Amino acid sequence: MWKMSNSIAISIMVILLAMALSGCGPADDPADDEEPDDPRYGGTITIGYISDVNYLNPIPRISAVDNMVNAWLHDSLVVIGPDGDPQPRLAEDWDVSEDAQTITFHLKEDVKWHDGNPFTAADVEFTVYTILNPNVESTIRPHMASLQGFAALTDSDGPASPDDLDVRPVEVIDDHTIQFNLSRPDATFIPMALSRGIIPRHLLEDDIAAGKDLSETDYTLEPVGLGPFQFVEWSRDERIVFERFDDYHEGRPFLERIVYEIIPDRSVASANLETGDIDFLWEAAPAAWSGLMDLDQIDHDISDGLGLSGVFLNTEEPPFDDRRVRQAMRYALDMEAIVGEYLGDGMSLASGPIPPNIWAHNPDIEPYPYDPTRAEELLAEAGWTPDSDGVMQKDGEPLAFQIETFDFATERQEASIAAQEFWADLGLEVDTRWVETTVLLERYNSGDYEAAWVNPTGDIDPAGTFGRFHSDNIDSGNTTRFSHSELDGILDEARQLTEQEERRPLYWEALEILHDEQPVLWAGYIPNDYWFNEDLTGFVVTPESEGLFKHLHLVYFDR
Amino acid sequence: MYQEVLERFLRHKVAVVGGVALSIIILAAIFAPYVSPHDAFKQDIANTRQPPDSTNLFGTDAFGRDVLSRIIWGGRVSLAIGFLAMLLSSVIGVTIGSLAGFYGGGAEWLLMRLTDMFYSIPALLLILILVAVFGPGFWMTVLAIGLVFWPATARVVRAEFLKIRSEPYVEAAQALGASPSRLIFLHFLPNAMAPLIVQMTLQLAQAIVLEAGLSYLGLGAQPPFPSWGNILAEGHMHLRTAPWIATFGGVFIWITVLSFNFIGDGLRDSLDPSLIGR
Repeated sequence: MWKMSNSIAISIMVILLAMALSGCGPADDPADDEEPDDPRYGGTITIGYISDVNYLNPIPRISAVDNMVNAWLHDSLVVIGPDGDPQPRLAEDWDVSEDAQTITFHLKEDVKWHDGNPFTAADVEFTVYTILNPNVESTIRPHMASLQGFAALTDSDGPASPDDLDVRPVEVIDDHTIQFNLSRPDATFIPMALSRGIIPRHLLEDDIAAGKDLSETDYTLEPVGLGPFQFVEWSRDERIVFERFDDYHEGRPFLERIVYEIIPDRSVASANLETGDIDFLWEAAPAAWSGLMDLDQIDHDISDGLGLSGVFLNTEEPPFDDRRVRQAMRYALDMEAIVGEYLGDGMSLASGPIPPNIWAHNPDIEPYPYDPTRAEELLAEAGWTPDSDGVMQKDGEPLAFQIETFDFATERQEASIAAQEFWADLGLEVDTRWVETTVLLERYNSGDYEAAWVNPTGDIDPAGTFGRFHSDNIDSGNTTRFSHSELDGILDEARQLTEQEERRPLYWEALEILHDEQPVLWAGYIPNDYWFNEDLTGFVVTPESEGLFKHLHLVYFDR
Repeated sequence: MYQEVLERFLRHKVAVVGGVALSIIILAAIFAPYVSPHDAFKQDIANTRQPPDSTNLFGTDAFGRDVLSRIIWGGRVSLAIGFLAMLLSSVIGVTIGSLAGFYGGGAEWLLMRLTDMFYSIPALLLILILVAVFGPGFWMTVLAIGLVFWPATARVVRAEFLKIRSEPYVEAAQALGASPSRLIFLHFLPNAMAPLIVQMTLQLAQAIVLEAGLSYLGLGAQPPFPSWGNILAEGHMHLRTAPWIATFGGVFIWITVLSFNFIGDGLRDSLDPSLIGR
């Protein structure tokens, strides 16, 4: 009896194997009609990351993962190149007028949407007006503040129509020429406002006219873009599949498919990379770095980035409304040890928001040293005295707060626990809490937090990064809700200038103020880290962490 | 009778080994402040992830804390959660199971459907919902595990009561006019005790495992308070560079759960009424 069932099992396996072999044979052959002999074409890249994308749409841009995934699907007028400067993408080139307030873009011809419709200047105009539309959620809007009529068009109590304006912010000259009219020179406009994806007017015009937010449209479920890869399917919190767009305007992409796998646990993701279940991992857990580096089958690229790790403090509420308390908290931390021990080998100690690879970085500013005595003096100056248990208090209130970070961010959880102990030595009562990503982001962006260990990405132009400390932006990016009139003045002045040499001294001054004020207890500059199957080649690394994904059409399997 | 049970239990060698191991662990947990070799909470950033040596028998964790001391303190939290969750599950389960088994009829139908309902909710899902709504922590973990476990207890108790209901001594007591509460407490419960005790022992072990699972997901006891689960969770991030953290944390969960199961087995055999008096 046993023998019989065993032989049946074997025959079933043989049949299944035969079926599998015959079934997958033809499917594996790439449909090579153009380059039959070029071995670079074909293959599926599986990319693992901790969270799902918020929208398959480039306009809302909630988090870094949105930038990454939308970079495959969508395309922009310019992209940031390896040197940090914008390069033309959907544009042939552009002209800037003498007064730097009129920018004319000449668009590529014969560019097609994934549904076959032609791309024209009308799509660009539509995208800009959609971003300006106050009914539409978008984090790009602040980067367009220098456009003519910005205030009137974005007024949430009844936005103006472009027709009512003396000068329109965008003018379509012809199908392939578009002009941007600025109200002041703005060095950040091209790299920051125009490096974002264009959306199709022919599919979205009616929805936007009807007052819908982009998240309410059918488009987000069946997105159509201009990018190198087109949408196939999306299983929420599981995976998203893309396939190459043969008519891509920069040439047919090498890779046949992209499978974006959501792997919530980063140590599992590292293990998946090791076993070959995924081909590419971005932002590996720091604790996994040394193990991954030892693997022969995995290559990595670690380079200077724009990201920054630090404890962001809500400076609007006590006790963090007092500069001396913030300084004391920073002096109390042996940040060098915390960064080295928990935040990863590749991270260097930060002195402020601008990393050394950006021209506005001020090399004369040193990070605060570990100086618990100085911390105690500062707290005493601010009126805090220890009670019988050694807990600092003022007017009967203990110096207590909660530090939060994301539930996936094990390295920041560990850093927080280490900081908790340093602060406890100073007499602070600190709770730690790990929170689900979207929940914490929402509270953090709306000022409903005390202290949060977060890793925001800086902008490619320092104006964007500095803008996060301008009091005008308290509800739009200034998450520490920091308000300092002298700093505001310096940033306003710098914003009017376009030459780096003129801007630099102002930004150095701004960095001095931020260093003294410590709205953020800066910890470290985060390098961009990418880990991948050794067969993959052709990556283009840029200072923007997600910039690599805008050049994925050049990547191929070399085997 | 107790004498006889004890004798039989002591003849069950594996159960005795379990009992001894468990006693040591429980005593260490109770007297944690006196028996732990180092401060379990004091971090030492210059001395992190040190392998086991003569100073730190089980090595140090990612914060330079002594792993052995944290396991001893962690035993307090893990055992307390296990014990309290088992207690809660028993109180609810015995109450519902007794009422259903004793009264029968419509009451039984209603109570057992309620039990079925709770039984059919996936345990982890119920716990995740509770923790998501009320936030993680010690008491939340106890409540969540207790709520997940009681249906099993209720079924055991009801089944025993159904058996006992038709016993001659119960019919005799009823004929003599004994009140329901007298019947339940004097006749039913003591005779249902054997399977109930076994059930409680096994649940205690399961509760410790579940607590470890919840802590692993970050939903159990919150740092810096150690529990075996969060020692395991904190250690898993450093499996490559400091395998001793998770290993020793896991070994203690394993020994404890195995001990409870051995004791459960021993109790089942020694309490089996069919063997008593033989």
